[in-house]
Amino acid sequence: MTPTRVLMVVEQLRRATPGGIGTYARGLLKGLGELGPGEMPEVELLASRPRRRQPDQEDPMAGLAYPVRNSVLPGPLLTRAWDRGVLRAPTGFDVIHAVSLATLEPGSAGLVSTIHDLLWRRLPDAYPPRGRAWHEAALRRALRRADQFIVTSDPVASDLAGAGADPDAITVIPMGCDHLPPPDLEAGASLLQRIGVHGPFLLSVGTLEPRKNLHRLTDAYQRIRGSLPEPWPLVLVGPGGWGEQVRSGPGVVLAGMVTPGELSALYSMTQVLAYVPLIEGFGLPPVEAMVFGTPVVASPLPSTAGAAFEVDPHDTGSIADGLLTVATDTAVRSRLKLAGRHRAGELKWSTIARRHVLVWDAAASRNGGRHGG
Amino acid sequence: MAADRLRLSLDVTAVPANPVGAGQYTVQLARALSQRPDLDLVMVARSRDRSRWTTVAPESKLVTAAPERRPLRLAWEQVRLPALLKQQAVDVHHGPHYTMPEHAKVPVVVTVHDLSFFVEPQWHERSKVLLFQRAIKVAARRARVVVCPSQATADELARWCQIDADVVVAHHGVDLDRFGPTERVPGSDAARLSTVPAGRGGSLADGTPFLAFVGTLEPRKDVPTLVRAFTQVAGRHPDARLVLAGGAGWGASKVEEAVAASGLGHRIIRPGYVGDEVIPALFRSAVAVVYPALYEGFGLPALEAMACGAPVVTTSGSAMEEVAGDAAILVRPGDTVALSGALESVLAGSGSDPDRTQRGLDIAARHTWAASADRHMEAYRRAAGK
Repeated sequence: MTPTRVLMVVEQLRRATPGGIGTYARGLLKGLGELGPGEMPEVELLASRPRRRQPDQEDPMAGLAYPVRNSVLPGPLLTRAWDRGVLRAPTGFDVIHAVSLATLEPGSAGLVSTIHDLLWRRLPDAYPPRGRAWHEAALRRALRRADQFIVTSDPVASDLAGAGADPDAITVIPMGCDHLPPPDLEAGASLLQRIGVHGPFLLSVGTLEPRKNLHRLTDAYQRIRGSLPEPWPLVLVGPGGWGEQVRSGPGVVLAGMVTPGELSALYSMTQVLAYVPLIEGFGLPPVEAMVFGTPVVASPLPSTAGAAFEVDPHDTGSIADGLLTVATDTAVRSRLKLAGRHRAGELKWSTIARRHVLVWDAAASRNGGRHGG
Repeated sequence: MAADRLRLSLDVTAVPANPVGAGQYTVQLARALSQRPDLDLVMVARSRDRSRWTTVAPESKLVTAAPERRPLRLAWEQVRLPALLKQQAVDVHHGPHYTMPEHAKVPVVVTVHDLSFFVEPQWHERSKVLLFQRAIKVAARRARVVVCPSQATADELARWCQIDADVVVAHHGVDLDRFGPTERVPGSDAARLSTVPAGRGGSLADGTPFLAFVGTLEPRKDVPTLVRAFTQVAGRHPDARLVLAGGAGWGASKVEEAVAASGLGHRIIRPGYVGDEVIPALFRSAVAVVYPALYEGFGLPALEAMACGAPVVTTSGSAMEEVAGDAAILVRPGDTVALSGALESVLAGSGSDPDRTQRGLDIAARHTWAASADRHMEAYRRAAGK
């Protein structure tokens, strides 16, 4: 049997800040690369026109081991053309896989769409109004166009079925977590020095936006700071988002964006990763940290599967208790390290890629049947 | 054929007198390599160990040059060994225990057994952590080939270190002459077990059922969880005993505490380090062999127990699972409740499964040291470029 020909729509990889969906796309490509020759479909990538860059800036899509089809259109125009159906998918593929809500008319191919969350419905205040409207319209298009849906957790599957998707066409596949490079300890150490952090510290990672609940996290941190063995700082890593920004206070240090090697280093060096969003489709940073055996304090999340110390993100006291316990109780710490490494071992991108191939096969055959072959 | 022969030096200086784990690996590998027709083996040893290595590999060349004590030996490896390798005209040098001569003029192969120095540094003496973390990073960048005993270790190496070396996974072997499903001489198992005191003047040969753990009593083996799990089922199996055979590593006081808390000191037997000949007898006679390690680069006792036809209870997500697969009963590491469930099933007799035993024997039959030496030979040839 000829392997399925798959076109992956990976516009996020063009962006300067690829975010969680970019991580998903890259991880999936990494996992596909680890499959055996017989298991491996033919994969090509589709994205917008490369941006003009300074000579020293590398195209973020350079170095991917797959053929890339660059559109003549730049990103924003291309997405709009897809949205309106003005531009269809290139022909010659069995399956088009949109790694986000940004789908396109698949023509005769089967369409697979990964829906990461429907959180704009659950938590409208956590989204800017324009974003909400685009997400809602994009969801309606995806529901109309896609043959198969991939979601990263059971709650998202329920939300999607509630929005009208055929439950039989939804497959839950978690994210992988083995995508970060080895810790660049030298770079990590000089980063910490630059932001004035010496010795042990606590860490949180994520876009600085309201949904991430950072003001409760920093309030909780202030409550327990005096009870720590020393006033260990709280380092916040992540790009600026929108809305109310972080309340700074004693010991709270913003590190901004960091390189993947620095992020690995920070995960491996921190005492605790704290990640307490109000709600999350999956929740990647906790499992990224678990790769390095780092104890995690987190809201109840699909990603952690009981391997984190769970706190109530609406309750500052609960977050504070969790932070202090995990930072100082050695028995709890060693239990969490163990559970975390075990959980991380379950989330390998190669396993996740293999499960995607099954969905692609289903989309190719299902679509072949529906469109009369 | 002579042109295909490879001249290899193997550093055997780190092997202690009573080798377990990585030390056993070096001994068995040296023996298997010395029997290969396509290899000239030069063993580099400590002077004191001459007679031991002559017994292991009588046909091979032995150079005794290394100092006794570790700090001196590690300095010697950097300063003096490169010249020795040149003098011995070897094609490849193999450091079987993390370290390598960084300025050797010949290609070097290094075995990285596990990444616990990164993953769980608190399991090790502080003085060793920085030393071995650095050694592993150096090996990943500067060795021509890194050998890992499991894919799990290879994956973790990639997680923690920048790798320029090729990585070859070579599972350990099991010595099938020692570890087999039947005793060589009828009655010999009972004779061996009768040397293990089991309290109140009795011995392990008295026929009462027991569960066996074999390994150093150290944090990564998680013996306290085994003691707690045994405590939970002990009431339903008043005859059953638990044998914890192995030397006390550092941190063994946690085992003492768990045994004291269990109130079952009389049913938990701790003979200390037991001799090579006793271990197979233990495996063959045990109701099940329990290896609850939280983290291992390979976990040889689990494979040795399977080779003896014993039901094996070990941890999921580990190198043991990679090797044993569905031939073992797998429980989540550190999970007392799951482990006590597994102990209950083996003690109640529902754990015996001839198909599973056969799968274990088949896996063991494939895991000879000769097969491991084959994989190492690939690594050496790759390093030598021939």
